[in-house]
Amino acid sequence: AIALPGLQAGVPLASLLWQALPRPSSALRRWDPGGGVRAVLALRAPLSRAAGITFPFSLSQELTFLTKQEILLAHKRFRELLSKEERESILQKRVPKSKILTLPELKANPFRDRICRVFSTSEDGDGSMSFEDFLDMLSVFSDSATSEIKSHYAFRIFDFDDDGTLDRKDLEKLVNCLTGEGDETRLSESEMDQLIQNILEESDIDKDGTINLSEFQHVISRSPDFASSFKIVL
Amino acid sequence: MTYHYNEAFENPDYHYSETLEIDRSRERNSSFHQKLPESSLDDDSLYDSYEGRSGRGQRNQDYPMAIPMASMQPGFQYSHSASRSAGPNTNPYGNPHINPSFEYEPELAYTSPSTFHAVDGPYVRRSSDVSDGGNLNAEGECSSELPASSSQVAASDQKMVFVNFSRSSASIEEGSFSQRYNRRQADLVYRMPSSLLRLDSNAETYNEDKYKQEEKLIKNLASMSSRERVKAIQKTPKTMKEKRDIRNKVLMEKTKKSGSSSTQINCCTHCLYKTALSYRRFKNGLSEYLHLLQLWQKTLKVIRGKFGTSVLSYFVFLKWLLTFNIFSFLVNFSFITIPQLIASGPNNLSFNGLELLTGAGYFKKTVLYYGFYTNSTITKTENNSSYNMQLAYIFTIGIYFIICFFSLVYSMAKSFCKNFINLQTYSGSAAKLLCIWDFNITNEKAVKLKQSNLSTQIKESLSEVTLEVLNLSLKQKIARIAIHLVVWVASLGIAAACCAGVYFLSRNELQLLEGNKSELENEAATLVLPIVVSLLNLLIPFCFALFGLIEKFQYPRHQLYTTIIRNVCLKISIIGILCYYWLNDVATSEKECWESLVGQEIYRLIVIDFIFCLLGSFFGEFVRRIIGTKCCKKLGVPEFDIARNVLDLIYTQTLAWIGIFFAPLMPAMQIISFFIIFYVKKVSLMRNCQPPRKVWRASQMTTLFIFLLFFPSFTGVLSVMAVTIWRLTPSKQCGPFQGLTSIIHAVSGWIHILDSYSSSKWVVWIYRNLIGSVHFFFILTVIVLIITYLYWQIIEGRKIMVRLLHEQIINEGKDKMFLLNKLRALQTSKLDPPKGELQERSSSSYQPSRQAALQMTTSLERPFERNGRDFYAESSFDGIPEKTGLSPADEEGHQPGISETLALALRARQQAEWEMEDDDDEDFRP
Repeated sequence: AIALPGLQAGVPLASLLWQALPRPSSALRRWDPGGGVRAVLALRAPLSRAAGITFPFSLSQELTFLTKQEILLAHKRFRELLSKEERESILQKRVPKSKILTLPELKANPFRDRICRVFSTSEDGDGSMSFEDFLDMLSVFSDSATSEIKSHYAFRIFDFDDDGTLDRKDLEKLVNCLTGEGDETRLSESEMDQLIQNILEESDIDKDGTINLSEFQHVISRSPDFASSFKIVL
Repeated sequence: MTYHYNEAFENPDYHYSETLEIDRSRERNSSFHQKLPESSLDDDSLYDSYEGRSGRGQRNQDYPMAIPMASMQPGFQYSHSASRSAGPNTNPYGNPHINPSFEYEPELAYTSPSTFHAVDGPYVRRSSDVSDGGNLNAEGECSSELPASSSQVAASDQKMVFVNFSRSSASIEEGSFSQRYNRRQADLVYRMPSSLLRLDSNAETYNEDKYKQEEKLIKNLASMSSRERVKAIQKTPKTMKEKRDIRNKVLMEKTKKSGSSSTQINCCTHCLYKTALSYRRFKNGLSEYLHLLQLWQKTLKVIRGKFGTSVLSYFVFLKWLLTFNIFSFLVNFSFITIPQLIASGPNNLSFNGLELLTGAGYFKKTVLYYGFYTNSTITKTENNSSYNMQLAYIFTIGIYFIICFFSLVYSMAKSFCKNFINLQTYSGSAAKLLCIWDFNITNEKAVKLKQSNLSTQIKESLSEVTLEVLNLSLKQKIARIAIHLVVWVASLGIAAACCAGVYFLSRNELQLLEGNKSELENEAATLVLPIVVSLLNLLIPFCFALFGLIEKFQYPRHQLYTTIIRNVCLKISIIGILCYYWLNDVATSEKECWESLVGQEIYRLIVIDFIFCLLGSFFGEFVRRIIGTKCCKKLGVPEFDIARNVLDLIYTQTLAWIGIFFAPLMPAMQIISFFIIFYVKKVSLMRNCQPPRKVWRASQMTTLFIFLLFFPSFTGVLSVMAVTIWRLTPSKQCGPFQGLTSIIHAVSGWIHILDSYSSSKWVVWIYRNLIGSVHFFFILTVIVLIITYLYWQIIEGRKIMVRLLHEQIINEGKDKMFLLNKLRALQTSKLDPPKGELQERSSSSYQPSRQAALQMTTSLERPFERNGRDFYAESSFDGIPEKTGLSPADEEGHQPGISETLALALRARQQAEWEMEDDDDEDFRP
């Protein structure tokens, strides 16, 4: 009876899961003298329905690093991005990039465009996000995500031209993002060259002039602060 | 018609429903070979992103190809728009450089299927995706060379294709595509039959291999326990849909496997299953509530957003200490205080406000202090159960310290192994830039500030690199060392002077207490010592900070570390001298209930220190900001001094630990003060401070602070406790241990009593042979030393291994470059353009560097692969044709094509290997 086409794939499975999940056993229900268990059960359903949450939590929990609370919060925040009419079908709707970027967590981030692009599964490459994409993003940026997966996505965020390696142009853009585009903070050309040279010298192990994923992860593994700084919490 | 079918399959419900999957799985085995085209179906959106990038679309050389007429394909328009949309799938993060060592790709040589392990390397596995992408180029293109006649066959095959297609949803990489690009399916279908028709045996084997790999992966996952599987799936860097597909398939596999045995489910397994489920549910529910218990989530988030991880680490540390104290309070309260409260009588002393500061007076006769506890066994008359206060007191505190010890060691080890592994390799800071950005910062102003700070930092470090080349002259060096020495002597001297002052002041106070004065005066006099100590703690660090200005450290890090060491020296020596005074003077002073006196002193120290901490943040941050913004603009807004604040916390925690024995409810005090400090610091930080300008290595510093908390602080506390318990005589008139010669006799006496009961012999045995015996500890130490030595040796071995592997990687890189150069030379020497490209292509199959790849022309998708097919049709592949060599001698051979190129490449590789071996000889054998 749950009609959420965006997630339909998960729904049969999720409903199976829900069924598999332990409920108060029939014995308990029969025993239940004050009707407490029944009352709780009766309370739960409309509550979750009222919140618009007909979402297979256990499944999302299983597939992401998020806890139930985090998913709930994400759901709430994502709902706020949608207009009133769209809220009914939150799981089908895509939120355009411009709206995603109004989130205070992303608004000031210099890599916000890249983040949207990397996590978006939109067909037109406009960086719009579905709720699942949103969850994906939060999962990667969550506390409990492993540092491998974090570094993997960090690499993709920094790979501005999506070609699978960080070359000089990517690094240049990266440094520009780090220092800001303002005139007084921007590095001069020679400084940039020198800096990129230094970066490549230190991290380009096989000396092919670019940094590939494994080299990047190698660098990251030496920087313990990365896991704690590569984090966005709603 | 195609659309019709597609619509039918567009329903993901049908697509994904598990039962249907199971049904369909029966079909699978019968129509195995039809799995073939499914990759082409979904992955051809890859085409455009790889177009013209031969470095990436590498392995297509062995497929028949037509002139690139992709634009004629029905799906072409879509491909363009969708190339980006493929997002996580299309992008080539299948680790294209994973194979620097010129090993044959399985796809190239078609020998054995490479085995991918999902869990071990999610990145590695994705290389199969990439190769798919390569394939697809070929397949997609070959569809356009389809003769018209074949399309009829194709039409008849379409239904089959759909069957495949529907199943493809279950296959790992592709599934999500089918769902995401439902719209495209119709177009895709046009292309598929053509690839169906392609009876290239190699491609078939390849696809089978690939299919097997998937199967293997699924099997791998299916064979794991559910927890491992969830972890493994979580770890795969894919979108949720893809992950869900993997999961669905794995579950299907599982049900298929267990399907035969499921009929035999008996009561027991059912029961087990139920318990497991309810346990899981319980755990989920618990974590839900624990989440609610998490303190200060919101506040911490705000701080993180505005000040970044570095300042946050202070607050996290504070929170961590708070949990220590809460735990200790709960333990002490429940095992010591509650029984005592049951047994104790009313308190007749009057209460006048000042006690809150001094801790004396009214509090003397409360459960706060050691002296109030009785030595009797508390017996409830009704049921004869008794509670021995002596044992309760000593065991509670002892066990608390043991738990503290292990949790400290554990967190230290964890943080150490996470943060201090092999740091020396990346002492340079340039590579750090790759991961320097703090994604936590969400405040716009903070971002701007951080950017400009980073910019100045980068500029500084770039100029430093040039500066460092200039070596200091000998004279300057000597001058520097002299300055350092002088400052060190001065700071240690100051610390020593402070200690001496504190010692004499405290002795003085002891005598003062003996003089007969009014009680109020006495109490006020006791406040002198804590105020002096707190003042010293507040002012001397500023003095040390001034020293930092005189010394000019090359790196700011060194300055930070030296300041921390000096401050720790100061604080610990002050605590040390106080302990000496307590244990040496107070304990032997024949005072009534010296333990309570010590407890009071510690109480006063903590309270006064707390007040000074508040004052410190008022003057240090608020007044400083006023001065910085109003009077002296040059100073600017202050920064939050993380190191000083954390050291203050460590100092108070040390005091609290010492105090636990003398005043069991000290943790309660500590909890209150930490709570208030947290809010005061937060407000002060938000109002007065700016984000730190310098890079603060948060995790390293946290490790250091945990270590400091362990080493001088906690171990010091343990030694003080040991002296108190083993050496000192407890006071005669009060406390649980009155009348004993030393506190430990309570335990030995108990053991003696136990000795007479035969049922508790094992306790006696354990006490005598393990806890009380020197030999046991000797053996334990030896074992620990041996294990440490073994690990040391392992680490050394691994270091060598790492070095060798590093060298190998560099050699492989050289190897690659060499090959590329050879091939490029060859290419330019040839006049015939297709041939030249041919070689380039083959070189690209070895995954050359991107530089090279970019230099290649974009017209690489040329139809030379048809020749390559012949090569594989013969496919004897029994040796490398010697004749071809690296020169274009064989150019006019009857098989100009990939065979030649391959051979060339192989020869080149061989040569490179020989060269490398020579190198290796030099490198590895000294």
